[in-house]
Amino acid sequence: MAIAHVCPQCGRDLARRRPQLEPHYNLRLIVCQCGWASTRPMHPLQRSWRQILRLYQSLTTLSGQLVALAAIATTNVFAATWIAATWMKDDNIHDVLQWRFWLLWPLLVVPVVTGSWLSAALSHWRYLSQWLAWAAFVSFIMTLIFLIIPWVYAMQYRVGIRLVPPDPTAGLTTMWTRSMLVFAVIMVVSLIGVPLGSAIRVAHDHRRINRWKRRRCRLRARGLST
Amino acid sequence: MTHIEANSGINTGRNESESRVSTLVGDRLCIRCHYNLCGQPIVREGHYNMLIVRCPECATIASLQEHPLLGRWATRWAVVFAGLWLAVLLGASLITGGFFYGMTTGLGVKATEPYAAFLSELQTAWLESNDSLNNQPQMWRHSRAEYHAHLHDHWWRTQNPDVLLASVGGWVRIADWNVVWGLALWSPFLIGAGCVWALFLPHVRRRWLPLCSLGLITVPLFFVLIAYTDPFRVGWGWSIGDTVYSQIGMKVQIVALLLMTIPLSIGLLLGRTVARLLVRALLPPRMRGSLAGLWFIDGLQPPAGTRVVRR
Repeated sequence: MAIAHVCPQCGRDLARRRPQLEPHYNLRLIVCQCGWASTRPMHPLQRSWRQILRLYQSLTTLSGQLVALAAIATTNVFAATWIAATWMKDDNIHDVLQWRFWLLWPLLVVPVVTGSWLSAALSHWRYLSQWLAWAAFVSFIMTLIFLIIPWVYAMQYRVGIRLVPPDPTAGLTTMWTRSMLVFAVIMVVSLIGVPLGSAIRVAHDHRRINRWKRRRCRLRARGLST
Repeated sequence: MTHIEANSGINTGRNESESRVSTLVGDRLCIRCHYNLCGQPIVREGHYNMLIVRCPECATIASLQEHPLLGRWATRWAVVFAGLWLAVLLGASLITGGFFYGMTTGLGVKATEPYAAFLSELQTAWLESNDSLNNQPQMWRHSRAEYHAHLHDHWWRTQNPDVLLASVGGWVRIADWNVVWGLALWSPFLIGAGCVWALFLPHVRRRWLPLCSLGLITVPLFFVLIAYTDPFRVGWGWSIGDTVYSQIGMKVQIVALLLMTIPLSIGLLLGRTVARLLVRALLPPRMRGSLAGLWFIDGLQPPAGTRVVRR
């Protein structure tokens, strides 16, 4: 029973009356015996509680997305620079891939996880802009790291934490180029993860829609829905 | 005919034009005496044609077109939550201030090393020239050239600290200003702290946000000034390091704190924009509604479009 609901025209107390879901505007409507139609107002406490639940859902989703973004971007950057660093040691990518099979797992697992996450969690983006934005974001982070490393060394030398001045020609440019190449390969392989991510998204959407349909059936059984 | 009580200001009379239209069936407490009005007649009063219920105990009128009041506890809980939020803000400002104080203290100590080396050399020369100190404890001889070397009381009392400082060109010249570049290493953290504080202060307009950075350095500045005005600290200490820090290091620390406001202001200005960007990028439109305040606080319209539920 509603805590309070009085017909504005005749003053009849409508608190005990059950509202009907109006088909056009989807509002919970009560038509009084005098003919005056009014919607069932929601109590401020109930409304505030629903707002809190909605905010909680948004904040938890946002936090989870931020954690996932940080983790997946870090894994991408780490995998690209790790393979590039190994490539720098052997200087021949064929030898690297031939003798170091353990390098292949970041080339397979990381892209699959990345592609799945992009397809499942960022489905509100268009495909092309999604991939372009992701490539630009990770490339920016990687470039920033390669720019920051000599700068941090220079600052530490200037402050006095380091005693040896940094060498700007220490092969950072080559390593950056190779890291970007490896990241490009990772991006291409990420397409493998797209079907998996799409399947996760579709399953999640179906679950949500089915929950909504069940709720609607319940309401219809109680005469509260069309 | 309406009768008004002399002192209480409560309308206790009944208007003759009032017509009874229904009976209240829900629970509704009188806002004055908390009497449950359930079962009381609903009347349409004659002046404004409003629907009202009159309390039979104190004759206070309850308006029926709005929900019953939540009582006094609503206000009490609001005060409790406001106090908790204030405590969180004060705690956060203290934690931020503590971090800033720690950062700048390290810079202040580092900046005083040239002057400490200068004093150490002078003291070492004095110790070596003074034969009467050969019988002194070993600590004077073992820690002569270190930053934390003990300051010899006899020697320091014969010196004029201001003249000594002036002989090397004053605190601006002798301080190692390269350490201020150390702030550049901390700037990402400072910008991040500014971003978080921009979200903690939603009532502040964007153009006033950079001024809040001055408020954030107030706590560490306060601690520095307390230490600076401490008569037992200023002038000389147990070690050369203490002495030069009280002479030069605190001034460098204050300059570093003032320079900190630049990355902090950048973070404060960027914070809300970054938050909006993250919400737009990471949340689907149907979940953005509850975070629309991020747009409203800067007078912007939230992004259009909601996700259509597929049937």
